[in-house]
Amino acid sequence: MLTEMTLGQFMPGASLLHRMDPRVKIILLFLYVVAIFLMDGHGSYALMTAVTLGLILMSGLSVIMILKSVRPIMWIILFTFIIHLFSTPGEEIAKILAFTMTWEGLDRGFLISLRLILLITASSLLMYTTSPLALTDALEDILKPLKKVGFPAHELAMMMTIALRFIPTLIEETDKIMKAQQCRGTDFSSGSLIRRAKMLVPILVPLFISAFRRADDLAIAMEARCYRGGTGRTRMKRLKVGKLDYYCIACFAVLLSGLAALTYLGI
Amino acid sequence: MSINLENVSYVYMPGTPFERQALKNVSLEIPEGRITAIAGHTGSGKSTLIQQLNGLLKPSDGVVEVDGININEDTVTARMAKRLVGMVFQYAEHQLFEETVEKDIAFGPRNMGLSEEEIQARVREAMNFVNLDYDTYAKRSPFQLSGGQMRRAAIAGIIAMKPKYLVLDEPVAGLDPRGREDLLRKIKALHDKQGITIIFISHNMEDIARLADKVIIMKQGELLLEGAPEEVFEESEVILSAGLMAPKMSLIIESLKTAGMDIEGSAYTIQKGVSLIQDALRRKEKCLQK
Repeated sequence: MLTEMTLGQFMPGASLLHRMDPRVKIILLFLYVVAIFLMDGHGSYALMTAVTLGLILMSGLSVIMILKSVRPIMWIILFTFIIHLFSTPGEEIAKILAFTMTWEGLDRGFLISLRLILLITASSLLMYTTSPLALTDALEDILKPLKKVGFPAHELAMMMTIALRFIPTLIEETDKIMKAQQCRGTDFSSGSLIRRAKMLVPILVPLFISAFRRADDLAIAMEARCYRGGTGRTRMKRLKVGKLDYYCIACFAVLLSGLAALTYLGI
Repeated sequence: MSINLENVSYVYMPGTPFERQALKNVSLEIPEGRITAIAGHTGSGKSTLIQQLNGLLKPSDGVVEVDGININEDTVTARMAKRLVGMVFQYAEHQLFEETVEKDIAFGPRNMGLSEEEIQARVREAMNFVNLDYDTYAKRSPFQLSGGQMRRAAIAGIIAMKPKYLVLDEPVAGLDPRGREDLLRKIKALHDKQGITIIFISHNMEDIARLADKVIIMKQGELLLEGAPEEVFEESEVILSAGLMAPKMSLIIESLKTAGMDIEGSAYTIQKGVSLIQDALRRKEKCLQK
């Protein structure tokens, strides 16, 4: 049922990637994505593919599970591949109606698809190895400098944290209400669209009521503990950039310079 | 006729790191026409167990039969069999959604495709049964009722569907003492007057001792004890190992026995216990007089 869903994609573990500081992870991922966009040439692609595969293996998660995260954009990838296949000028492979397939197109299409797949797997790797709370904490920290220009970094992070915290609760609640209404003869899977839409009322009304009640309770509980926004708040679990992170940053720098060299040499 | 579970296992989220086995090889019988109580510590699989009874959760392994029909087959008879089992969830008042109490109670019967007169009759009967006066409450919003009344309105919504088996998950949780007492009495009356088979989950051994004909004790997804209350409550050590306490009366009787008082038999309700102690005292007096 619904409760059998994982929140976000986080899979607990103890790998190197799990232990890294989330801020470092986010920034490195950002640079990684930029590098994927800027790189060109077969050598760089081969290197990046190898590194991404290496990271997946290091994370201790199943490769299949991570490749599954590509599924939602399968069609986009296929579409770009076909566009490139037919629209790049060069040596002809075959002709279908007015369109010509070329070897160059095959090459380009393949590289662009690979680029998209690398992008998705790299970012889903971050989501798989970082708990949502660590992510919001890291975002708050990264956005902190923007506070000077009035950007509500803490408030935003707090809102995200609360929202994330309540997703499983609300899913559980929805599951319970759905089951309860199922016991009263609601059938969600058959009937016309209008009938099915009507069947949402018995779920949404109780769900909204309980969500508001929870929000109210939470607000009171926070106020009772003197929550007054971000200024001067300390944390129980402080993010700390450790030795491990410096190693990773160093490795990353090596990787980037390798990429730069490959690009420069035109491989 | 009865509800039968055969070697039922249930695993939550199989194939992920969050995999958890909630039921392990549970086989049991819930006899028709009785009141069966299910007890167990938090996380012992009680709620998972009762959701097997009307097919809300399909067992990962094993068979669930209602009146001899496997309810997890995809047939019309299986669907009909599932309907025999009504389910009242914990905090049932959270499922109320309609504008009026009357409409909310009519929701189930209406989904069953009954005629308008039949629905009306059932709503009246159900409200009457849970002590909600029809003329006073029928047109009110369910959200204007008190907690106990909301709970009763929600239960009425299930009763109006006239299930043969009624499953209640901690029906009295979170009610005040009077609300508890009222509701327990109503549940007993449902069984006595309407002949509905009752299955209920409770943490309160006193409630179980008072109502149940059969007690099932769960521990970590496994069936620990099953039987008539007098048999089950004898095993106070085993019950303790499941993180529960036998009814206070049976504990008192037991410690009186070990202290040397001449008590015959055992008791788990207050009335029975008191009479046993009185008997013992009388015997003692007679002995002294002689």
